[in-house]
Amino acid sequence: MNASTARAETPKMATAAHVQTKDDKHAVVLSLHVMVEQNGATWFAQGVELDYASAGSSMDDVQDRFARGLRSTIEANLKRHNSIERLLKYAPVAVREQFKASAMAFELNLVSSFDLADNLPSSFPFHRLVFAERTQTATC
Amino acid sequence: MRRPTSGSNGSFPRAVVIEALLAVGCKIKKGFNADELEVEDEDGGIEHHYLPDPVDYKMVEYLIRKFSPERFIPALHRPPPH
Repeated sequence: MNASTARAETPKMATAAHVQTKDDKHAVVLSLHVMVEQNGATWFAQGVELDYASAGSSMDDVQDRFARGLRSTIEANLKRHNSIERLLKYAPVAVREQFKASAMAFELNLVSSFDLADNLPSSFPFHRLVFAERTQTATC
Repeated sequence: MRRPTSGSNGSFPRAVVIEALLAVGCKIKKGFNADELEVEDEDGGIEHHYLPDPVDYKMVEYLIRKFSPERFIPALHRPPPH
C-alpha cells in the first residue's frame, strides 16, 4: 500500500474524486473512510462506507489490523462465494451520523491514507483507505 | 460465565470474547495465529479479523451486532460509563 500522511487535517465528507491523467484517461477515486478512536489503552476503527471494523493496541496497530483484516476478508469472500457482494454494506446509520457530526464539529483529524488500487481486486469499489481519528465524543 | 478481567476501560480478554461468542452459536473459526479469526454472518458473509488482546469494548459490540444470533451477551456486557 502506498501511504501518505497528513496530521491535523480535517477530512472532507466527499468520498469521490475525479482524476485525469496526462494521456487523457479519466477515473473516479472512491475513498473508504475509517473512523478511529481511543478507549483508554485500546483502539477501535470502524469503516463508514463499508461495515467492517477492527481493534488494536495503538493507532498504528489498529490501522494495520484493519488493512490486513479487510484484505483477508475480501480474499475469503472471493474464495467462498467468488464475489464480495455480501461484504458491500454501509455501516449503520448511527455510525455514519457520528462520522458526519464529528467532521462538522472539526473533531476528526486525518491520520493517514492508503492507496488500495494495486492491492485489491477490481470488483472492490474503493480505491483509497482514509483513517481519521475522532478526537472528541461528538453527539448526534 | 467468566467476567471481564482486564482494564478499567471496559476492554475484554480475547479468550473471554471468543468463548462467549461461541457459546451463543456464533460461527467462528480460529486461524493459524492466535489473533486470527474468521467469522460468518447469517447471510454467509465472511469476515477475517486480527483480534488483539485485550479487545476494545466497541469491537466486542461490533462482533455481537454482526455475528451473534443473540444480540445481547451478558458475559460481554459493559455497563454504561457514569
